[in-house]
Amino acid sequence: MTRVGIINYGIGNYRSIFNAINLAGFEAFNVSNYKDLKHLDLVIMPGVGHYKTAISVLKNTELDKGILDLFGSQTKVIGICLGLHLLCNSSDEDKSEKGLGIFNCKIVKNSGNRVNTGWQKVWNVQKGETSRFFFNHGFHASISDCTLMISRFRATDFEFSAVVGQNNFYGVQFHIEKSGVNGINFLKEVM
Amino acid sequence: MRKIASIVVKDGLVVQSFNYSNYLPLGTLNATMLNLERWGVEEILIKNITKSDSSLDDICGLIMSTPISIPITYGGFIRSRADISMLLNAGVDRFCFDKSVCKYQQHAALHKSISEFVGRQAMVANLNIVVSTTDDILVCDYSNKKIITHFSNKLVSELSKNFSELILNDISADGEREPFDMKIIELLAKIETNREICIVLSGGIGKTDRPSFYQKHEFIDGIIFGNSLYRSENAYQNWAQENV
Repeated sequence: MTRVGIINYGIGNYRSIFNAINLAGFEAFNVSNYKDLKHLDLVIMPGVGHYKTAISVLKNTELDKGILDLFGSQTKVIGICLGLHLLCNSSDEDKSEKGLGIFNCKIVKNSGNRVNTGWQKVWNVQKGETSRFFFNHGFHASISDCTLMISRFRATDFEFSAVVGQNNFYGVQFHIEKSGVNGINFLKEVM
Repeated sequence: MRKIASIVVKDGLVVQSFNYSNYLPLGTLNATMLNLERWGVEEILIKNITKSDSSLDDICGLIMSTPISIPITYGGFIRSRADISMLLNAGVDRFCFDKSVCKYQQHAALHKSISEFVGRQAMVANLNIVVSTTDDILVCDYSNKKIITHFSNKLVSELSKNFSELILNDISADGEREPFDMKIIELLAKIETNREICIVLSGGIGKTDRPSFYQKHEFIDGIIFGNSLYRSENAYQNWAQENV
Protein backbone atom coordinates (compact mmCIF):
# COMPACT_ATOMS: atom_id res chain seq x y z
CA MET A 1 0.00 0.00 0.00
CA THR A 2 1.17 3.55 -0.79
CA ARG A 3 2.68 5.12 2.32
CA VAL A 4 1.91 8.84 2.69
CA GLY A 5 3.51 11.08 5.30
CA ILE A 6 1.72 14.26 6.35
CA ILE A 7 3.93 17.04 7.70
CA ASN A 8 2.47 18.15 11.03
CA TYR A 9 3.36 21.82 11.62
CA GLY A 10 1.04 21.84 14.61
CA ILE A 11 -1.15 24.34 12.77
CA GLY A 12 -2.13 22.69 9.46
CA ASN A 13 -5.38 20.93 8.61
CA TYR A 14 -3.82 17.54 9.34
CA ARG A 15 -7.14 15.72 9.82
CA SER A 16 -8.59 16.80 6.46
CA ILE A 17 -5.48 15.51 4.66
CA PHE A 18 -5.61 12.31 6.70
CA ASN A 19 -9.22 11.71 5.58
CA ALA A 20 -8.38 12.38 1.93
CA ILE A 21 -5.43 9.95 2.05
CA ASN A 22 -7.67 7.25 3.45
CA LEU A 23 -10.37 7.95 0.86
CA ALA A 24 -7.72 7.54 -1.86
CA GLY A 25 -6.92 4.10 -0.43
CA PHE A 26 -3.45 5.09 0.84
CA GLU A 27 -1.97 4.69 4.31
CA ALA A 28 -1.33 7.95 6.22
CA PHE A 29 1.52 8.64 8.67
CA ASN A 30 2.32 11.59 10.89
CA VAL A 31 5.59 13.42 10.12
CA SER A 32 6.82 15.60 13.00
CA ASN A 33 10.60 15.43 12.48
CA TYR A 34 13.07 14.51 9.74
CA LYS A 35 13.38 10.88 10.93
CA ASP A 36 9.69 10.33 10.08
CA LEU A 37 10.44 11.10 6.41
CA LYS A 38 12.02 7.68 5.76
CA HIS A 39 10.34 4.88 3.78
CA LEU A 40 7.52 7.04 2.42
CA ASP A 41 6.14 7.03 -1.15
CA LEU A 42 4.61 10.48 -0.83
CA VAL A 43 5.02 13.41 1.54
CA ILE A 44 2.29 16.04 1.85
CA MET A 45 2.86 19.53 3.20
CA PRO A 46 -0.63 20.74 4.30
CA GLY A 47 -2.03 24.13 3.52
CA VAL A 48 -3.79 26.03 6.28
CA GLY A 49 -1.83 28.51 8.38
CA HIS A 50 0.48 31.48 8.25
CA TYR A 51 3.76 31.32 6.28
CA LYS A 52 5.93 32.63 9.13
CA THR A 53 4.62 30.12 11.70
CA ALA A 54 4.97 27.16 9.34
CA ILE A 55 8.50 28.00 8.10
CA SER A 56 9.64 28.44 11.72
CA VAL A 57 8.31 24.99 12.62
CA LEU A 58 10.08 23.43 9.61
CA LYS A 59 13.38 25.04 10.55
CA ASN A 60 13.11 24.30 14.28
CA THR A 61 12.39 20.61 13.65
CA GLU A 62 14.99 20.38 10.83
CA LEU A 63 12.21 19.16 8.59
CA ASP A 64 13.38 21.78 6.09
CA LYS A 65 16.64 19.85 5.54
CA GLY A 66 14.80 16.50 5.46
CA ILE A 67 12.42 17.78 2.77
CA LEU A 68 15.27 19.22 0.68
CA ASP A 69 17.06 15.83 0.88
CA LEU A 70 14.05 14.25 -0.85
CA PHE A 71 14.67 16.23 -4.04
CA GLY A 72 15.47 13.80 -6.86
CA SER A 73 14.55 10.76 -4.73
CA GLN A 74 11.79 8.18 -5.33
CA THR A 75 9.58 9.90 -2.74
CA LYS A 76 7.15 12.39 -4.23
CA VAL A 77 6.36 15.59 -2.37
CA ILE A 78 3.21 17.69 -2.70
CA GLY A 79 2.88 21.11 -1.08
CA ILE A 80 -0.74 22.20 -0.77
CA CYS A 81 -1.50 25.96 -0.73
CA LEU A 82 0.72 27.14 2.15
CA GLY A 83 2.80 24.00 1.51
CA LEU A 84 3.41 25.25 -2.05
CA HIS A 85 4.37 28.67 -0.71
CA LEU A 86 6.94 27.10 1.66
CA LEU A 87 8.57 25.32 -1.30
CA CYS A 88 9.11 28.56 -3.25
CA ASN A 89 11.92 31.11 -2.86
CA SER A 90 10.02 33.60 -0.72
CA SER A 91 6.56 34.88 0.17
CA ASP A 92 5.08 38.35 0.50
CA GLU A 93 3.21 37.01 3.56
CA ASP A 94 6.46 37.32 5.52
CA LYS A 95 9.48 38.70 3.72
CA SER A 96 11.86 38.05 6.64
CA GLU A 97 11.87 34.26 6.15
CA LYS A 98 13.10 32.58 2.96
CA GLY A 99 11.31 29.53 1.58
CA LEU A 100 12.90 26.18 0.73
CA GLY A 101 13.57 27.30 -2.86
CA ILE A 102 12.56 24.10 -4.66
CA PHE A 103 10.43 26.10 -7.07
CA ASN A 104 12.19 29.06 -8.57
CA CYS A 105 9.32 31.47 -8.05
CA LYS A 106 8.09 33.99 -5.54
CA ILE A 107 4.75 34.05 -3.73
CA VAL A 108 2.95 37.35 -4.16
CA LYS A 109 -0.15 38.89 -2.60
CA ASN A 110 -3.37 38.64 -4.59
CA SER A 111 -4.35 41.81 -6.42
CA GLY A 112 -6.38 44.16 -4.21
CA ASN A 113 -5.58 42.13 -1.05
CA ARG A 114 -8.49 39.91 -2.02
CA VAL A 115 -8.74 36.28 -1.00
CA ASN A 116 -9.70 33.93 -3.81
CA THR A 117 -12.23 31.46 -2.41
CA GLY A 118 -14.40 28.84 -4.08
CA TRP A 119 -14.45 26.08 -6.67
CA GLN A 120 -12.74 27.06 -9.89
CA LYS A 121 -11.67 25.57 -13.16
CA VAL A 122 -8.05 24.51 -13.52
CA TRP A 123 -6.46 24.05 -16.92
CA ASN A 124 -3.80 21.38 -17.39
CA VAL A 125 -1.25 23.00 -19.73
CA GLN A 126 0.22 19.69 -20.97
CA LYS A 127 -2.98 17.70 -21.40
CA GLY A 128 -5.28 20.55 -22.38
CA GLU A 129 -7.92 19.34 -19.89
CA THR A 130 -9.90 21.21 -17.28
CA SER A 131 -11.13 20.13 -13.86
CA ARG A 132 -12.66 21.91 -10.85
CA PHE A 133 -10.97 22.28 -7.47
CA PHE A 134 -11.51 24.28 -4.26
CA PHE A 135 -9.29 27.35 -3.70
CA ASN A 136 -8.86 29.55 -0.62
CA HIS A 137 -5.79 31.77 -0.77
CA GLY A 138 -4.65 35.34 -0.32
CA PHE A 139 -1.26 34.78 -1.98
CA HIS A 140 -0.26 32.96 -5.16
CA ALA A 141 2.61 31.87 -7.40
CA SER A 142 2.81 33.74 -10.69
CA ILE A 143 3.07 31.83 -13.96
CA SER A 144 6.64 30.54 -14.39
CA ASP A 145 8.67 27.76 -16.04
CA CYS A 146 7.49 25.45 -13.23
CA THR A 147 3.79 25.97 -14.03
CA LEU A 148 1.93 22.78 -14.93
CA MET A 149 -1.66 23.92 -14.45
CA ILE A 150 -3.29 27.36 -14.57
CA SER A 151 -6.36 28.91 -12.99
CA ARG A 152 -7.89 32.39 -12.93
CA PHE A 153 -8.93 34.66 -10.10
CA ARG A 154 -12.66 34.76 -9.59
CA ALA A 155 -12.72 38.54 -9.20
CA THR A 156 -10.22 39.72 -11.81
CA ASP A 157 -9.85 36.83 -14.28
CA PHE A 158 -6.06 37.20 -13.89
CA GLU A 159 -4.10 33.94 -14.42
CA PHE A 160 -1.91 32.29 -11.79
CA SER A 161 -0.15 28.95 -11.23
CA ALA A 162 -2.58 26.33 -9.92
CA VAL A 163 0.05 23.58 -10.01
CA VAL A 164 3.81 23.85 -10.26
CA GLY A 165 6.26 20.98 -10.61
CA GLN A 166 9.99 20.36 -10.45
CA ASN A 167 11.34 16.82 -10.63
CA ASN A 168 9.55 14.77 -7.90
CA PHE A 169 8.13 17.89 -6.18
CA TYR A 170 4.67 19.37 -6.84
CA GLY A 171 2.99 22.44 -5.44
CA VAL A 172 -0.77 22.93 -5.73
CA GLN A 173 -2.61 26.16 -4.94
CA PHE A 174 -6.01 24.48 -4.57
CA HIS A 175 -6.97 22.18 -1.73
CA ILE A 176 -6.78 18.56 -2.90
CA GLU A 177 -8.22 17.42 0.42
CA LYS A 178 -11.29 19.65 0.02
CA SER A 179 -12.00 19.07 -3.66
CA GLY A 180 -14.09 15.91 -3.33
CA VAL A 181 -13.63 13.23 -5.97
CA ASN A 182 -11.51 15.53 -8.17
CA GLY A 183 -9.00 15.99 -5.36
CA ILE A 184 -8.80 12.27 -4.64
CA ASN A 185 -8.30 11.55 -8.37
CA PHE A 186 -5.54 14.17 -8.55
CA LEU A 187 -3.76 12.49 -5.66
CA LYS A 188 -4.01 9.09 -7.35
CA GLU A 189 -2.75 10.55 -10.64
CA VAL A 190 0.34 12.02 -8.98
CA MET A 191 1.17 8.58 -7.57
CA MET B 1 -21.21 32.12 -7.54
CA ARG B 2 -20.47 30.06 -4.44
CA LYS B 3 -23.34 28.12 -2.92
CA ILE B 4 -22.88 27.24 0.73
CA ALA B 5 -25.04 24.93 2.86
CA SER B 6 -25.58 26.00 6.44
CA ILE B 7 -26.11 23.50 9.27
CA VAL B 8 -27.34 24.66 12.68
CA VAL B 9 -26.26 22.43 15.57
CA LYS B 10 -27.88 22.54 18.99
CA ASP B 11 -27.06 20.11 21.80
CA GLY B 12 -25.24 17.80 19.38
CA LEU B 13 -28.10 17.53 16.89
CA VAL B 14 -28.74 19.27 13.59
CA VAL B 15 -31.86 21.39 13.94
CA GLN B 16 -34.07 23.45 11.71
CA SER B 17 -34.18 26.85 13.35
CA PHE B 18 -37.23 29.07 13.30
CA ASN B 19 -35.82 32.52 13.97
CA TYR B 20 -33.50 30.93 16.56
CA SER B 21 -36.38 30.62 19.01
CA ASN B 22 -37.93 27.28 18.05
CA TYR B 23 -36.04 24.25 16.80
CA LEU B 24 -36.97 21.09 14.95
CA PRO B 25 -34.41 18.27 15.39
CA LEU B 26 -33.34 16.83 12.02
CA GLY B 27 -30.70 14.25 12.84
CA THR B 28 -27.04 13.79 13.60
CA LEU B 29 -24.27 16.05 12.33
CA ASN B 30 -22.37 13.10 10.83
CA ALA B 31 -25.32 11.91 8.76
CA THR B 32 -26.21 15.44 7.64
CA MET B 33 -22.66 16.23 6.50
CA LEU B 34 -22.39 12.95 4.59
CA ASN B 35 -25.80 13.55 2.99
CA LEU B 36 -24.88 17.08 1.93
CA GLU B 37 -21.68 15.87 0.26
CA ARG B 38 -23.65 13.10 -1.47
CA TRP B 39 -26.18 15.67 -2.71
CA GLY B 40 -23.39 17.65 -4.36
CA VAL B 41 -23.05 20.50 -1.85
CA GLU B 42 -19.66 22.19 -2.38
CA GLU B 43 -19.16 24.03 0.94
CA ILE B 44 -20.59 23.58 4.45
CA LEU B 45 -21.02 26.17 7.21
CA ILE B 46 -21.64 24.71 10.68
CA LYS B 47 -23.24 27.08 13.17
CA ASN B 48 -23.00 25.77 16.71
CA ILE B 49 -25.57 27.42 19.00
CA THR B 50 -25.18 25.06 21.97
CA LYS B 51 -24.68 27.01 25.18
CA SER B 52 -22.24 24.72 26.93
CA ASP B 53 -18.51 24.81 27.70
CA SER B 54 -18.04 21.30 26.34
CA SER B 55 -19.90 21.89 23.08
CA LEU B 56 -16.73 22.70 21.15
CA ASP B 57 -15.11 19.41 22.25
CA ASP B 58 -18.27 17.51 21.34
CA ILE B 59 -18.61 19.08 17.90
CA CYS B 60 -14.91 18.55 17.12
CA GLY B 61 -15.40 14.85 17.89
CA LEU B 62 -18.37 14.70 15.52
CA ILE B 63 -16.55 16.52 12.68
CA MET B 64 -13.43 14.39 13.14
CA SER B 65 -15.42 11.19 12.81
CA THR B 66 -17.05 12.28 9.53
CA PRO B 67 -14.83 11.55 6.52
CA ILE B 68 -15.92 14.15 3.98
CA SER B 69 -13.72 16.00 1.49
CA ILE B 70 -15.48 19.32 1.00
CA PRO B 71 -14.63 22.59 2.80
CA ILE B 72 -16.00 23.17 6.30
CA THR B 73 -16.42 26.58 7.93
CA TYR B 74 -17.27 26.54 11.64
CA GLY B 75 -18.87 29.25 13.76
CA GLY B 76 -19.78 29.37 17.46
CA PHE B 77 -17.98 29.92 20.78
CA ILE B 78 -14.47 30.39 19.36
CA ARG B 79 -12.57 32.15 22.13
CA SER B 80 -8.88 31.44 21.59
CA ARG B 81 -6.12 30.10 19.37
CA ALA B 82 -6.38 26.85 21.32
CA ASP B 83 -9.99 26.51 20.13
CA ILE B 84 -8.80 27.12 16.55
CA SER B 85 -6.12 24.42 16.87
CA MET B 86 -8.71 21.95 18.12
CA LEU B 87 -11.07 22.77 15.23
CA LEU B 88 -8.26 22.54 12.66
CA ASN B 89 -7.28 19.14 14.00
CA ALA B 90 -10.90 18.05 13.67
CA GLY B 91 -11.00 18.96 9.96
CA VAL B 92 -12.36 22.52 9.96
CA ASP B 93 -10.83 24.80 7.31
CA ARG B 94 -12.25 28.24 8.05
CA PHE B 95 -13.58 30.02 11.13
CA CYS B 96 -16.65 32.20 11.42
CA PHE B 97 -16.97 34.87 14.11
CA ASP B 98 -20.33 36.36 15.01
CA LYS B 99 -20.77 37.96 18.44
CA SER B 100 -17.18 39.17 18.69
CA VAL B 101 -17.52 40.83 15.26
CA CYS B 102 -20.39 42.99 16.55
CA LYS B 103 -17.93 44.45 19.04
CA TYR B 104 -14.87 44.12 16.82
CA GLN B 105 -12.99 46.98 18.50
CA GLN B 106 -13.04 45.13 21.84
CA HIS B 107 -11.99 41.86 20.20
CA ALA B 108 -9.49 43.20 17.66
CA ALA B 109 -6.53 41.61 19.48
CA LEU B 110 -8.15 38.15 19.41
CA HIS B 111 -9.08 38.49 15.73
CA LYS B 112 -5.57 39.67 14.83
CA SER B 113 -3.94 36.90 16.82
CA ILE B 114 -6.03 34.19 15.14
CA SER B 115 -5.64 35.77 11.71
CA GLU B 116 -1.85 35.72 12.10
CA PHE B 117 -2.05 32.10 13.25
CA VAL B 118 -4.20 30.59 10.50
CA GLY B 119 -4.02 33.28 7.82
CA ARG B 120 -6.62 35.86 6.84
CA GLN B 121 -8.03 33.53 4.17
CA ALA B 122 -9.43 31.34 6.94
CA MET B 123 -11.22 34.19 8.75
CA VAL B 124 -14.94 34.79 8.17
CA ALA B 125 -17.05 37.50 9.85
CA ASN B 126 -20.81 37.31 10.23
CA LEU B 127 -22.97 40.42 10.61
CA ASN B 128 -26.69 40.23 11.32
CA ILE B 129 -28.40 43.01 9.42
CA VAL B 130 -31.79 44.56 8.83
CA VAL B 131 -33.09 47.45 6.72
CA SER B 132 -34.42 50.44 8.66
CA THR B 133 -37.54 52.39 7.75
CA THR B 134 -35.20 55.10 6.46
CA ASP B 135 -33.51 52.66 4.08
CA ASP B 136 -30.28 52.21 6.01
CA ILE B 137 -28.63 48.85 6.60
CA LEU B 138 -28.29 48.34 10.35
CA VAL B 139 -26.12 45.82 12.17
CA CYS B 140 -27.91 44.06 15.04
CA ASP B 141 -27.17 41.73 17.89
CA TYR B 142 -29.14 38.59 17.01
CA SER B 143 -29.88 37.60 20.60
CA ASN B 144 -31.70 40.79 21.61
CA LYS B 145 -32.23 42.41 18.16
CA LYS B 146 -30.56 45.53 19.51
CA ILE B 147 -29.14 47.88 16.86
CA ILE B 148 -25.35 48.15 17.21
CA THR B 149 -24.22 50.32 14.34
CA HIS B 150 -24.84 51.35 10.75
CA PHE B 151 -23.41 49.16 8.02
CA SER B 152 -20.81 51.24 6.22
CA ASN B 153 -17.73 51.06 4.06
CA LYS B 154 -15.69 52.14 7.08
CA LEU B 155 -16.95 49.14 9.07
CA VAL B 156 -16.12 46.78 6.18
CA SER B 157 -12.64 48.30 5.86
CA GLU B 158 -11.97 47.71 9.56
CA LEU B 159 -13.14 44.10 9.34
CA SER B 160 -11.12 43.45 6.18
CA LYS B 161 -7.90 43.86 8.18
CA ASN B 162 -8.40 40.46 9.81
CA PHE B 163 -11.21 38.85 7.83
CA SER B 164 -11.36 37.81 4.19
CA GLU B 165 -15.07 37.12 4.00
CA LEU B 166 -18.19 38.83 5.32
CA ILE B 167 -21.50 37.03 5.72
CA LEU B 168 -24.46 39.42 5.75
CA ASN B 169 -27.36 37.66 7.41
CA ASP B 170 -30.81 39.20 6.89
CA ILE B 171 -32.42 38.59 10.29
CA SER B 172 -35.84 39.67 9.08
CA ALA B 173 -35.79 36.59 6.80
CA ASP B 174 -33.56 34.14 8.68
CA GLY B 175 -35.76 31.32 9.94
CA GLU B 176 -38.88 33.28 8.97
CA ARG B 177 -41.30 32.86 6.10
CA GLU B 178 -40.01 35.90 4.26
CA PRO B 179 -37.38 35.65 1.51
CA PHE B 180 -34.10 37.61 1.61
CA ASP B 181 -34.84 41.34 1.51
CA MET B 182 -33.85 42.48 -1.99
CA LYS B 183 -33.70 46.02 -0.67
CA ILE B 184 -30.42 45.04 1.02
CA ILE B 185 -28.88 44.24 -2.35
CA GLU B 186 -30.07 47.54 -3.79
CA LEU B 187 -28.57 49.41 -0.83
CA LEU B 188 -25.32 47.40 -0.91
CA ALA B 189 -24.92 48.25 -4.58
CA LYS B 190 -25.04 51.93 -3.65
CA ILE B 191 -22.44 51.63 -0.88
CA GLU B 192 -18.93 51.71 -2.26
CA THR B 193 -18.04 48.50 -0.46
CA ASN B 194 -14.41 47.66 0.22
CA ARG B 195 -13.47 45.00 -2.32
CA GLU B 196 -10.80 43.44 -0.14
CA ILE B 197 -13.47 41.31 1.48
CA CYS B 198 -15.80 38.75 -0.13
CA ILE B 199 -19.53 39.33 0.43
CA VAL B 200 -21.78 36.33 1.09
CA LEU B 201 -25.53 36.68 1.66
CA SER B 202 -27.59 34.63 4.09
CA GLY B 203 -31.16 34.46 5.43
CA GLY B 204 -34.17 33.38 3.41
CA ILE B 205 -32.05 32.78 0.32
CA GLY B 206 -33.72 29.52 -0.67
CA LYS B 207 -37.18 31.08 -0.44
CA THR B 208 -36.78 33.78 -3.02
CA ASP B 209 -38.55 33.44 -6.33
CA ARG B 210 -35.74 35.42 -7.98
CA PRO B 211 -32.55 33.54 -7.07
CA SER B 212 -30.79 34.47 -10.31
CA PHE B 213 -31.03 38.09 -9.11
CA TYR B 214 -27.98 37.49 -6.89
CA GLN B 215 -25.80 36.54 -9.84
CA LYS B 216 -26.40 39.84 -11.59
CA HIS B 217 -24.44 41.65 -8.89
CA GLU B 218 -20.71 41.05 -9.09
CA PHE B 219 -20.12 42.21 -5.50
CA ILE B 220 -22.00 39.13 -4.26
CA ASP B 221 -19.51 36.28 -4.06
CA GLY B 222 -21.75 33.63 -2.55
CA ILE B 223 -25.08 32.71 -1.00
CA ILE B 224 -25.94 30.54 1.98
CA PHE B 225 -29.06 28.48 2.37
CA GLY B 226 -30.20 26.56 5.40
CA ASN B 227 -33.75 25.48 6.06
CA SER B 228 -34.56 25.13 2.37
CA LEU B 229 -32.03 22.29 2.22
CA TYR B 230 -34.34 20.03 4.13
CA ARG B 231 -37.55 20.44 2.16
CA SER B 232 -36.78 17.24 0.30
CA GLU B 233 -33.77 15.08 -0.53
CA ASN B 234 -33.48 16.69 -3.96
CA ALA B 235 -33.99 20.26 -2.78
CA TYR B 236 -30.34 21.21 -3.16
CA GLN B 237 -29.83 19.55 -6.54
CA ASN B 238 -32.97 21.16 -7.95
CA TRP B 239 -32.03 24.55 -6.56
CA ALA B 240 -28.44 24.30 -7.82
CA GLN B 241 -29.50 23.20 -11.29
CA GLU B 242 -31.91 26.12 -11.59
CA ASN B 243 -29.24 28.58 -10.46
CA VAL B 244 -26.01 27.58 -12.14
